[in-house]
Amino acid sequence: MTVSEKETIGSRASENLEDSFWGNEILSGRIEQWERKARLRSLRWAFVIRMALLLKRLLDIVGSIFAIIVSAPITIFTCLAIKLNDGGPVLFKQLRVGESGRLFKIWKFRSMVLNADQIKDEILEQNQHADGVTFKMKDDPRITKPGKWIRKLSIDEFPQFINVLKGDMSLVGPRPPVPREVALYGARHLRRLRAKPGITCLWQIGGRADIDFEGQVRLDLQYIHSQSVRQDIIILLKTIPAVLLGKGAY
Amino acid sequence: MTDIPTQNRNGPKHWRLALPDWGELDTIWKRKLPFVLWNVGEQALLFHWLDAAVDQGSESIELTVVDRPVDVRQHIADASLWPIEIKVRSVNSIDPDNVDDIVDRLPGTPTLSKSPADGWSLLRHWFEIEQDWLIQFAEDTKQYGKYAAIGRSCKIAPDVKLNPPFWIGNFVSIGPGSVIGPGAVVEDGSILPGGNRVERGHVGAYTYLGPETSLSDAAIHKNELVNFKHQAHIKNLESFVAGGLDKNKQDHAPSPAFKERWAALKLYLKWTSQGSGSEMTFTDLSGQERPALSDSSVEARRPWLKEVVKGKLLLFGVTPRTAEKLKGVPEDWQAILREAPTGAFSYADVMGAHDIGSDEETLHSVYQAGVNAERCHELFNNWLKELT
Repeated sequence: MTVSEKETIGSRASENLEDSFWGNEILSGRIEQWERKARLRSLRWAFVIRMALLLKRLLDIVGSIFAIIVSAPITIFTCLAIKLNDGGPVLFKQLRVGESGRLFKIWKFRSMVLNADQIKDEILEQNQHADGVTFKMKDDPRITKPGKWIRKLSIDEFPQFINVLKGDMSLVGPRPPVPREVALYGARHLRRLRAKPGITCLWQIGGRADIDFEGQVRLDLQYIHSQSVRQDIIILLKTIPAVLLGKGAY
Repeated sequence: MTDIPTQNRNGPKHWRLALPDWGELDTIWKRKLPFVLWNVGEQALLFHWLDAAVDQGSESIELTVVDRPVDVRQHIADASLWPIEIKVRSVNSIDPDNVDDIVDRLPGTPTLSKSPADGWSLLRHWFEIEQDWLIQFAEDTKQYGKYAAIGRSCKIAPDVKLNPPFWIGNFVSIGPGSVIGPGAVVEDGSILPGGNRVERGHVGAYTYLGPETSLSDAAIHKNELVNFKHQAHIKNLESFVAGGLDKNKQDHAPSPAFKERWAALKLYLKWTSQGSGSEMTFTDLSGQERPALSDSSVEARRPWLKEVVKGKLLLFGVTPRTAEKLKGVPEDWQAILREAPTGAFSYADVMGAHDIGSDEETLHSVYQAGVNAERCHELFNNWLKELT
């Protein structure tokens, strides 16, 4: 077939189409109807996406304000306990890795002695983890007397509601790791950093610190995958007994 | 906090990568971004190499870029996920002795026997990379199951058949009776209303695919379709067959920040002697009406400052011009000037060339839009301080 033949067939075909299909009055009305349906469906989905994001943020704001008010008596008592123990600052800030790898400062109640970093090097040899990456060990000598109770009851996490209000964190989401940990991550572990970090997540209500690292990443991904406001509320409700029973926290 | 499994990290500490210069080969799809920033599955090809760098324990990466370095720089600035120091070096041609590897394929795969020679081979190369990635991805994330392959907040009907390997992004809606995979990539925010088949196919971000539509050996992005089997490229599909969802959001020009509007307002009030300009308007490259200038002095830009205050124009960008001003300008320069965001003042003004459309002004504008936007913006801020 030569080029000119192709062209003539092509133009004839398009002429026929004009006459019989696109030119048909009944059909052209229907095409507009399809288009309207498509546009409506798109708009509805765009609305759903926006509402999902908005509701999550709304839940964060309402939830954290509520939590700050409810926990106020405990907070005041804890502040007094820390201040009276050694007179140092009540809160301390720690650098954490947030959404898509951006750094932010997390707020916590101080549960360790003032020169904790200096002592860290001395006790490095006693650390239970041979690689010396994670400094969470049973019977850490740096932890103060009120600090022990603060940690046991997870009260040290309460100031993070301020982070949630600021928008660095969310109520529910993967725990934000410290930069030292992220330096050891493999590429597939970085996936968990794609969501906004949170105070509680699936592995906190499961077995807390007893799950291995791959299991944590799997649970984080499971959460990111099935994220919804309904699930967030369920996780938040399940967190309360987990905190009160002090499962796996030390 | 538990032990992180130790990785096998014996790669080079400092990794030097070159990005292929395939900008001229992209004759069919004509995408805005260079090849390395095209999405291969979940992320751009370049970011798969950053993943590889993390896995092999590299601490810094040096990227040698020929094709559109501004876009590469911008994407690297946003790539905060990877704990690696990344340096971007813009050059005119790549010196093969100075690089360890070339980002023209997936990391860890054998080097290309021959690089793509034309538009179709480039597109097919991209498509094949993506299909390879899907298989590799399914293998790598076996332990995470479906949780790695489907993004957040998706709505998938219960009777949808998902045949691995596949990858579905965030906020995707898939209706009943659809069959996804094998070899399917559905990017963020797309809608497949129902009865869709995607087999060896790629659905771009924020794309609406009509009901009862099947896609095989093809990629669709908004209302543009590329079929690899028949080498067909269709633009402007009917909106019930396929279309974009965030059309307005994407095509809308960036609006000036509050600070810029304030600076524009100050200048506008300062230059009251200029009058409000004539009622004449002209159509600029993006098809928008702009007030015409009386002469080629800086003060004559006063009517444009009003546009900045209104939010219709940036304060700093490539100055708007008519299509006639582009005659005699090389074609690739024309493309750069068309794509660049428009502003009341440009780098050319900083350099003292105020006559829009003159050779000197065009050269400066192309430098600003295509080579080193950040440096130009810096110089512009200094210049603006002197002006106010």
